[in-house]
Amino acid sequence: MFLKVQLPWNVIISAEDLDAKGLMLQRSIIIRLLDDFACKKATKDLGYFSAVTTLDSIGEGKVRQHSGDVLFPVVFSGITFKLFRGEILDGVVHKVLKHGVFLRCGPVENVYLSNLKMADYKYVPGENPIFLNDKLSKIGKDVTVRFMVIGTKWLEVEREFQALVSLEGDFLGPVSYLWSRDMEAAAAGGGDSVRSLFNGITAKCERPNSFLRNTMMRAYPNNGALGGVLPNNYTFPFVLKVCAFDSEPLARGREVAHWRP
Amino acid sequence: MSGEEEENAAELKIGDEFLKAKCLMNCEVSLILEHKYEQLQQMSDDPMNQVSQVFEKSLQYVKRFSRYKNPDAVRQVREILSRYQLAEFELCVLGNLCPETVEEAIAMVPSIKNRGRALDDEAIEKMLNDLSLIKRFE
Repeated sequence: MFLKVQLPWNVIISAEDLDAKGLMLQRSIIIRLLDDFACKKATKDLGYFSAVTTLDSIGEGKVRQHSGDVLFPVVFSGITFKLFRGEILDGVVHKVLKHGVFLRCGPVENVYLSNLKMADYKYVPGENPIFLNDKLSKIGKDVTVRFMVIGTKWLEVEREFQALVSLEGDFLGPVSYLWSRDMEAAAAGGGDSVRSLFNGITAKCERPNSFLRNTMMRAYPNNGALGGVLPNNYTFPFVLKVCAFDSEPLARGREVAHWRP
Repeated sequence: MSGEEEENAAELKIGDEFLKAKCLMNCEVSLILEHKYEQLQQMSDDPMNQVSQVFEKSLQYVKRFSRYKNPDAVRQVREILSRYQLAEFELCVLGNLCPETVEEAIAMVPSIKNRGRALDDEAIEKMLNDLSLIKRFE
Protein backbone atom coordinates (compact mmCIF):
# COMPACT_ATOMS: atom_id res chain seq x y z
CA MET A 1 0.00 0.00 0.00
CA PHE A 2 1.24 3.47 -0.83
CA LEU A 3 1.09 5.85 2.12
CA LYS A 4 1.11 9.59 2.29
CA VAL A 5 3.44 10.56 5.13
CA GLN A 6 4.67 13.73 6.74
CA LEU A 7 8.19 13.51 8.09
CA PRO A 8 10.58 15.69 10.04
CA TRP A 9 14.11 15.63 8.68
CA ASN A 10 17.39 17.39 9.36
CA VAL A 11 19.04 18.85 6.31
CA ILE A 12 22.69 19.85 6.58
CA ILE A 13 23.93 22.53 4.24
CA SER A 14 27.66 23.06 4.03
CA ALA A 15 29.03 26.55 4.45
CA GLU A 16 29.94 27.03 0.77
CA ASP A 17 26.36 26.26 -0.32
CA LEU A 18 24.96 28.96 1.92
CA ASP A 19 23.81 32.04 0.09
CA ALA A 20 22.38 35.25 1.43
CA LYS A 21 19.57 35.16 -1.10
CA GLY A 22 16.67 33.21 0.35
CA LEU A 23 15.61 31.48 -2.83
CA MET A 24 18.97 29.91 -3.45
CA LEU A 25 19.09 28.64 0.10
CA GLN A 26 15.68 27.04 -0.26
CA ARG A 27 16.89 25.44 -3.46
CA SER A 28 19.95 23.99 -1.74
CA ILE A 29 17.77 22.62 1.02
CA ILE A 30 15.41 20.95 -1.42
CA ILE A 31 18.24 19.45 -3.47
CA ARG A 32 19.92 18.16 -0.35
CA LEU A 33 16.65 16.74 0.96
CA LEU A 34 15.96 14.94 -2.31
CA ASP A 35 19.44 13.45 -2.28
CA ASP A 36 19.14 12.27 1.31
CA PHE A 37 15.70 10.89 0.62
CA ALA A 38 16.90 8.91 -2.40
CA CYS A 39 19.90 7.53 -0.46
CA LYS A 40 17.83 6.42 2.47
CA LYS A 41 15.74 4.14 0.22
CA ALA A 42 13.57 2.74 3.02
CA THR A 43 12.97 2.56 6.76
CA LYS A 44 11.59 -0.27 8.80
CA ASP A 45 8.56 1.69 9.97
CA LEU A 46 7.50 3.58 6.89
CA GLY A 47 8.66 1.32 4.08
CA TYR A 48 10.20 2.44 0.80
CA PHE A 49 10.54 6.16 0.05
CA SER A 50 9.02 6.68 -3.39
CA ALA A 51 8.87 10.46 -3.71
CA VAL A 52 8.94 13.79 -1.91
CA THR A 53 5.78 15.70 -2.73
CA THR A 54 6.03 18.97 -0.83
CA LEU A 55 8.40 20.76 1.54
CA ASP A 56 6.04 21.94 4.25
CA SER A 57 8.25 24.00 6.52
CA ILE A 58 11.87 24.97 7.10
CA GLY A 59 12.90 25.75 10.67
CA GLU A 60 15.63 27.98 12.06
CA GLY A 61 19.07 26.94 10.91
CA LYS A 62 21.61 26.07 13.57
CA VAL A 63 25.32 26.44 12.95
CA ARG A 64 27.28 23.34 13.85
CA GLN A 65 30.29 24.40 15.81
CA HIS A 66 33.10 22.24 14.51
CA SER A 67 32.35 22.35 10.77
CA GLY A 68 30.48 25.56 10.14
CA ASP A 69 27.72 23.65 8.35
CA VAL A 70 24.19 24.71 9.04
CA LEU A 71 21.52 22.26 10.11
CA PHE A 72 17.94 23.02 9.10
CA PRO A 73 15.08 21.08 10.64
CA VAL A 74 12.46 20.65 7.91
CA VAL A 75 9.09 18.97 7.59
CA PHE A 76 8.07 17.49 4.28
CA SER A 77 5.38 15.28 2.82
CA GLY A 78 6.09 12.28 0.70
CA ILE A 79 4.89 8.94 -0.56
CA THR A 80 6.10 5.63 0.83
CA PHE A 81 5.28 2.02 0.02
CA LYS A 82 4.87 -0.63 2.70
CA LEU A 83 3.62 -4.19 2.61
CA PHE A 84 1.33 -5.24 5.45
CA ARG A 85 0.75 -8.75 6.64
CA GLY A 86 -2.69 -9.87 5.45
CA GLU A 87 -2.74 -7.35 2.61
CA ILE A 88 -3.79 -8.51 -0.87
CA LEU A 89 -1.91 -7.08 -3.83
CA ASP A 90 -0.96 -7.69 -7.45
CA GLY A 91 2.65 -8.40 -8.36
CA VAL A 92 4.63 -9.46 -11.42
CA VAL A 93 6.76 -12.63 -11.54
CA HIS A 94 10.40 -11.93 -12.41
CA LYS A 95 12.13 -15.19 -11.54
CA VAL A 96 10.95 -18.81 -11.56
CA LEU A 97 12.80 -21.30 -9.38
CA LYS A 98 12.15 -24.94 -8.67
CA HIS A 99 10.64 -24.28 -5.26
CA GLY A 100 8.75 -21.12 -5.97
CA VAL A 101 8.74 -17.77 -7.75
CA PHE A 102 9.96 -14.25 -7.01
CA LEU A 103 7.66 -11.37 -7.71
CA ARG A 104 8.10 -7.65 -7.98
CA CYS A 105 5.53 -5.52 -6.21
CA GLY A 106 6.01 -1.78 -6.28
CA PRO A 107 9.59 -1.06 -5.22
CA VAL A 108 9.88 -4.46 -3.49
CA GLU A 109 11.87 -6.97 -5.55
CA ASN A 110 11.99 -9.89 -3.14
CA VAL A 111 8.45 -11.09 -2.84
CA TYR A 112 8.64 -14.86 -2.57
CA LEU A 113 5.80 -17.22 -3.36
CA SER A 114 6.79 -20.72 -2.31
CA ASN A 115 5.44 -23.80 -4.01
CA LEU A 116 4.14 -24.80 -0.57
CA LYS A 117 1.81 -21.82 -0.66
CA MET A 118 0.43 -22.66 -4.10
CA ALA A 119 0.06 -26.36 -3.57
CA ASP A 120 -2.10 -27.06 -6.63
CA TYR A 121 0.63 -25.75 -8.96
CA LYS A 122 3.34 -28.06 -10.26
CA TYR A 123 6.77 -27.01 -11.47
CA VAL A 124 7.35 -27.56 -15.19
CA PRO A 125 11.07 -27.36 -16.04
CA GLY A 126 12.37 -26.10 -19.37
CA GLU A 127 14.01 -23.12 -20.98
CA ASN A 128 11.24 -20.96 -19.58
CA PRO A 129 10.15 -22.86 -16.49
CA ILE A 130 6.61 -22.30 -15.23
CA PHE A 131 4.20 -23.45 -12.57
CA LEU A 132 1.01 -25.00 -13.88
CA ASN A 133 -2.13 -26.28 -12.20
CA ASP A 134 -4.65 -28.82 -13.45
CA LYS A 135 -6.87 -26.06 -14.84
CA LEU A 136 -3.89 -25.02 -17.00
CA SER A 137 -3.52 -21.79 -15.14
CA LYS A 138 0.08 -20.70 -15.59
CA ILE A 139 2.51 -18.83 -13.37
CA GLY A 140 5.62 -17.87 -15.32
CA LYS A 141 7.87 -14.89 -15.93
CA ASP A 142 5.97 -11.60 -16.43
CA VAL A 143 2.67 -13.07 -15.28
CA THR A 144 0.59 -10.91 -12.94
CA VAL A 145 -0.35 -12.72 -9.75
CA ARG A 146 -2.73 -11.64 -6.99
CA PHE A 147 -1.43 -12.79 -3.60
CA MET A 148 -1.75 -12.30 0.13
CA VAL A 149 1.22 -11.17 2.24
CA ILE A 150 1.91 -13.65 5.05
CA GLY A 151 5.11 -12.16 6.42
CA THR A 152 7.61 -9.38 5.93
CA LYS A 153 11.20 -9.01 7.02
CA TRP A 154 13.31 -5.88 7.24
CA LEU A 155 16.96 -6.23 6.27
CA GLU A 156 18.80 -3.45 8.03
CA VAL A 157 22.07 -3.68 6.10
CA GLU A 158 20.52 -3.72 2.63
CA ARG A 159 17.76 -1.35 3.72
CA GLU A 160 15.24 -3.58 2.02
CA PHE A 161 12.19 -5.63 2.76
CA GLN A 162 11.57 -9.25 1.92
CA ALA A 163 8.07 -10.63 1.86
CA LEU A 164 6.54 -14.08 1.89
CA VAL A 165 3.23 -14.40 0.10
CA SER A 166 0.60 -17.04 -0.45
CA LEU A 167 -2.13 -18.04 -2.91
CA GLU A 168 -4.12 -19.88 -0.24
CA GLY A 169 -7.43 -18.07 -0.22
CA ASP A 170 -10.32 -17.18 -2.49
CA PHE A 171 -9.77 -15.07 -5.57
CA LEU A 172 -5.98 -15.33 -5.45
CA GLY A 173 -3.79 -16.46 -8.35
CA PRO A 174 -2.66 -15.35 -11.82
CA VAL A 175 -4.82 -12.42 -12.77
CA SER A 176 -5.75 -13.42 -16.31
CA TYR A 177 -7.02 -16.62 -14.73
CA LEU A 178 -9.08 -14.64 -12.25
CA TRP A 179 -10.86 -12.75 -15.00
CA SER A 180 -12.01 -15.99 -16.41
CA ARG A 181 -14.05 -17.11 -13.45
CA ASP A 182 -17.34 -15.89 -14.90
CA MET A 183 -16.71 -18.02 -17.91
CA GLU A 184 -15.93 -21.10 -15.89
CA ALA A 185 -19.55 -21.57 -14.92
CA ALA A 186 -20.72 -21.10 -18.47
CA ALA A 187 -18.03 -23.42 -19.80
CA ALA A 188 -19.24 -26.16 -17.50
CA GLY A 189 -22.60 -25.88 -19.24
CA GLY A 190 -21.07 -26.56 -22.68
CA GLY A 191 -20.67 -24.66 -25.92
CA ASP A 192 -24.21 -23.39 -26.12
CA SER A 193 -24.16 -21.55 -22.84
CA VAL A 194 -20.93 -19.86 -23.86
CA ARG A 195 -22.49 -18.75 -27.10
CA SER A 196 -25.54 -17.40 -25.38
CA LEU A 197 -23.32 -15.57 -22.96
CA PHE A 198 -21.44 -14.00 -25.87
CA ASN A 199 -24.67 -12.93 -27.49
CA GLY A 200 -25.99 -11.55 -24.26
CA ILE A 201 -22.93 -9.44 -23.77
CA THR A 202 -22.80 -7.93 -27.22
CA ALA A 203 -26.48 -7.13 -26.97
CA LYS A 204 -26.26 -5.49 -23.57
CA CYS A 205 -23.05 -3.53 -23.47
CA GLU A 206 -22.32 -0.46 -25.49
CA ARG A 207 -18.74 -0.29 -24.31
CA PRO A 208 -18.14 -3.79 -23.12
CA ASN A 209 -14.73 -3.33 -21.58
CA SER A 210 -14.35 -5.21 -18.37
CA PHE A 211 -16.97 -7.80 -19.03
CA LEU A 212 -15.66 -8.76 -22.43
CA ARG A 213 -12.25 -9.00 -20.95
CA ASN A 214 -13.48 -11.78 -18.70
CA THR A 215 -15.20 -13.59 -21.46
CA MET A 216 -12.71 -13.43 -24.23
CA MET A 217 -9.71 -14.30 -22.16
CA ARG A 218 -11.36 -17.47 -21.06
CA ALA A 219 -12.93 -18.29 -24.36
CA TYR A 220 -9.56 -18.57 -25.98
CA PRO A 221 -8.02 -21.43 -23.97
CA ASN A 222 -11.33 -23.19 -23.72
CA ASN A 223 -12.32 -23.19 -27.38
CA GLY A 224 -10.68 -26.45 -28.18
CA ALA A 225 -12.19 -28.25 -25.26
CA LEU A 226 -15.65 -26.94 -25.98
CA GLY A 227 -15.49 -27.71 -29.69
CA GLY A 228 -18.10 -25.06 -30.13
CA VAL A 229 -17.31 -21.40 -30.12
CA LEU A 230 -14.47 -20.45 -32.40
CA PRO A 231 -13.01 -16.99 -32.58
CA ASN A 232 -14.16 -15.01 -35.61
CA ASN A 233 -12.82 -11.80 -37.05
CA TYR A 234 -14.68 -9.87 -34.37
CA THR A 235 -12.90 -11.68 -31.61
CA PHE A 236 -9.31 -10.71 -32.22
CA PRO A 237 -9.69 -6.94 -32.06
CA PHE A 238 -11.45 -7.38 -28.74
CA VAL A 239 -8.76 -9.62 -27.38
CA LEU A 240 -6.08 -7.20 -28.48
CA LYS A 241 -7.99 -4.32 -27.00
CA VAL A 242 -8.31 -6.29 -23.84
CA CYS A 243 -4.57 -6.84 -23.71
CA ALA A 244 -3.80 -3.18 -24.28
CA PHE A 245 -6.47 -2.14 -21.83
CA ASP A 246 -5.02 -4.09 -19.00
CA SER A 247 -1.49 -3.11 -19.75
CA GLU A 248 -0.41 -6.70 -20.04
CA PRO A 249 2.74 -7.09 -22.06
CA LEU A 250 2.28 -6.89 -25.78
CA ALA A 251 3.65 -10.40 -26.01
CA ARG A 252 0.50 -11.75 -24.51
CA GLY A 253 -1.51 -9.94 -27.15
CA ARG A 254 0.57 -11.55 -29.85
CA GLU A 255 0.20 -14.95 -28.31
CA VAL A 256 -3.55 -14.58 -28.40
CA ALA A 257 -3.72 -13.05 -31.85
CA HIS A 258 -1.64 -15.82 -33.41
CA TRP A 259 -3.61 -18.58 -31.86
CA ARG A 260 -5.08 -21.06 -34.30
CA PRO A 261 -7.68 -23.71 -33.61
CA MET B 1 1.69 -1.07 17.55
CA SER B 2 1.76 -3.63 20.32
CA GLY B 3 4.18 -6.17 18.94
CA GLU B 4 4.79 -7.24 15.38
CA GLU B 5 2.99 -10.55 15.83
CA GLU B 6 -0.42 -9.02 15.70
CA GLU B 7 -0.27 -7.20 12.40
CA ASN B 8 -3.00 -8.45 10.12
CA ALA B 9 -4.36 -6.22 7.42
CA ALA B 10 -7.24 -8.61 6.80
CA GLU B 11 -8.59 -7.68 10.23
CA LEU B 12 -7.44 -4.11 9.82
CA LYS B 13 -4.79 -4.52 12.47
CA ILE B 14 -2.05 -2.45 10.95
CA GLY B 15 -1.04 -0.21 13.81
CA ASP B 16 -2.63 3.08 14.78
CA GLU B 17 -0.14 5.24 12.97
CA PHE B 18 -1.04 3.55 9.68
CA LEU B 19 -4.77 3.43 10.32
CA LYS B 20 -4.73 7.19 10.60
CA ALA B 21 -2.17 7.72 7.87
CA LYS B 22 -3.55 8.60 4.53
CA CYS B 23 -3.29 5.71 2.12
CA LEU B 24 -3.11 6.32 -1.59
CA MET B 25 -4.58 4.25 -4.40
CA ASN B 26 -2.25 3.20 -7.21
CA CYS B 27 -4.10 5.48 -9.61
CA GLU B 28 -3.52 8.48 -7.32
CA VAL B 29 0.16 7.67 -6.91
CA SER B 30 0.41 7.31 -10.67
CA LEU B 31 -0.92 10.84 -11.21
CA ILE B 32 1.49 12.29 -8.64
CA LEU B 33 4.59 10.42 -9.84
CA GLU B 34 3.91 11.05 -13.51
CA HIS B 35 3.52 14.73 -12.77
CA LYS B 36 6.85 14.71 -10.90
CA TYR B 37 8.47 12.91 -13.77
CA GLU B 38 7.16 15.46 -16.29
CA GLN B 39 8.57 18.26 -14.17
CA LEU B 40 11.95 16.54 -14.20
CA GLN B 41 11.76 16.04 -17.94
CA GLN B 42 11.45 19.78 -18.43
CA MET B 43 14.52 20.38 -16.30
CA SER B 44 16.81 17.71 -17.64
CA ASP B 45 17.42 15.67 -20.77
CA ASP B 46 17.81 12.40 -18.99
CA PRO B 47 15.17 12.39 -16.25
CA MET B 48 15.49 8.69 -15.47
CA ASN B 49 19.02 9.42 -14.29
CA GLN B 50 17.70 12.00 -11.84
CA VAL B 51 15.29 9.79 -9.98
CA SER B 52 15.94 7.12 -7.40
CA GLN B 53 15.46 3.45 -8.16
CA VAL B 54 12.58 3.35 -5.72
CA PHE B 55 10.85 6.14 -7.66
CA GLU B 56 11.42 4.37 -10.95
CA LYS B 57 10.06 1.04 -9.73
CA SER B 58 7.11 2.68 -8.02
CA LEU B 59 6.23 4.54 -11.21
CA GLN B 60 6.44 1.39 -13.31
CA TYR B 61 4.25 -0.45 -10.87
CA VAL B 62 1.50 2.13 -10.56
CA LYS B 63 1.40 2.65 -14.31
CA ARG B 64 0.73 -1.03 -14.76
CA PHE B 65 -1.71 -1.38 -11.88
CA SER B 66 -3.83 1.75 -12.11
CA ARG B 67 -7.38 0.85 -12.95
CA TYR B 68 -8.33 4.46 -13.61
CA LYS B 69 -6.19 6.80 -15.69
CA ASN B 70 -8.22 9.96 -16.02
CA PRO B 71 -7.81 12.43 -13.10
CA ASP B 72 -11.56 13.06 -12.85
CA ALA B 73 -12.28 9.37 -12.64
CA VAL B 74 -9.62 8.99 -9.94
CA ARG B 75 -11.25 11.74 -7.91
CA GLN B 76 -14.69 10.17 -8.32
CA VAL B 77 -13.47 6.76 -7.20
CA ARG B 78 -12.26 8.20 -3.93
CA GLU B 79 -15.45 10.20 -3.52
CA ILE B 80 -17.69 7.19 -4.07
CA LEU B 81 -15.71 4.91 -1.79
CA SER B 82 -15.61 7.49 0.99
CA ARG B 83 -19.41 7.36 1.25
CA TYR B 84 -19.18 3.92 2.84
CA GLN B 85 -17.40 4.58 6.14
CA LEU B 86 -14.38 2.61 5.04
CA ALA B 87 -10.99 2.91 6.69
CA GLU B 88 -8.38 4.53 4.44
CA PHE B 89 -6.67 1.19 4.01
CA GLU B 90 -9.86 -0.62 2.97
CA LEU B 91 -10.79 2.15 0.59
CA CYS B 92 -7.48 1.89 -1.24
CA VAL B 93 -7.47 -1.90 -1.47
CA LEU B 94 -10.91 -1.76 -3.10
CA GLY B 95 -9.82 1.02 -5.46
CA ASN B 96 -6.68 -0.92 -6.44
CA LEU B 97 -8.12 -4.38 -6.93
CA CYS B 98 -11.55 -3.41 -8.31
CA PRO B 99 -13.43 -6.54 -7.24
CA GLU B 100 -16.35 -7.36 -9.49
CA THR B 101 -18.60 -9.25 -7.09
CA VAL B 102 -19.62 -8.86 -3.47
CA GLU B 103 -17.97 -12.18 -2.70
CA GLU B 104 -14.70 -11.05 -4.22
CA ALA B 105 -14.84 -7.70 -2.40
CA ILE B 106 -15.19 -9.49 0.94
CA ALA B 107 -12.31 -11.83 0.09
CA MET B 108 -10.09 -8.86 -0.78
CA VAL B 109 -11.07 -6.81 2.31
CA PRO B 110 -12.42 -9.23 4.95
CA SER B 111 -12.55 -6.44 7.53
CA ILE B 112 -15.52 -4.79 5.79
CA LYS B 113 -17.56 -7.64 7.24
CA ASN B 114 -15.82 -8.01 10.58
CA ARG B 115 -16.01 -4.62 12.09
CA GLY B 116 -18.96 -3.28 14.04
CA ARG B 117 -20.40 -1.25 11.21
CA ALA B 118 -20.55 -4.34 8.91
CA LEU B 119 -21.59 -3.19 5.49
CA ASP B 120 -24.44 -5.33 4.20
CA ASP B 121 -24.21 -7.08 0.85
CA GLU B 122 -26.58 -4.63 -0.80
CA ALA B 123 -24.42 -1.67 0.15
CA ILE B 124 -21.31 -3.44 -1.18
CA GLU B 125 -23.11 -4.31 -4.39
CA LYS B 126 -24.11 -0.69 -4.88
CA MET B 127 -20.59 0.45 -4.25
CA LEU B 128 -19.17 -1.97 -6.83
CA ASN B 129 -21.80 -0.92 -9.37
CA ASP B 130 -20.94 2.73 -8.90
CA LEU B 131 -17.26 1.93 -9.39
CA SER B 132 -17.84 -0.05 -12.56
CA LEU B 133 -19.89 2.86 -13.93
CA ILE B 134 -16.87 5.15 -13.56
CA LYS B 135 -14.74 2.60 -15.36
CA ARG B 136 -17.25 2.36 -18.18
CA PHE B 137 -17.55 6.09 -18.73
CA GLU B 138 -13.91 6.89 -18.33
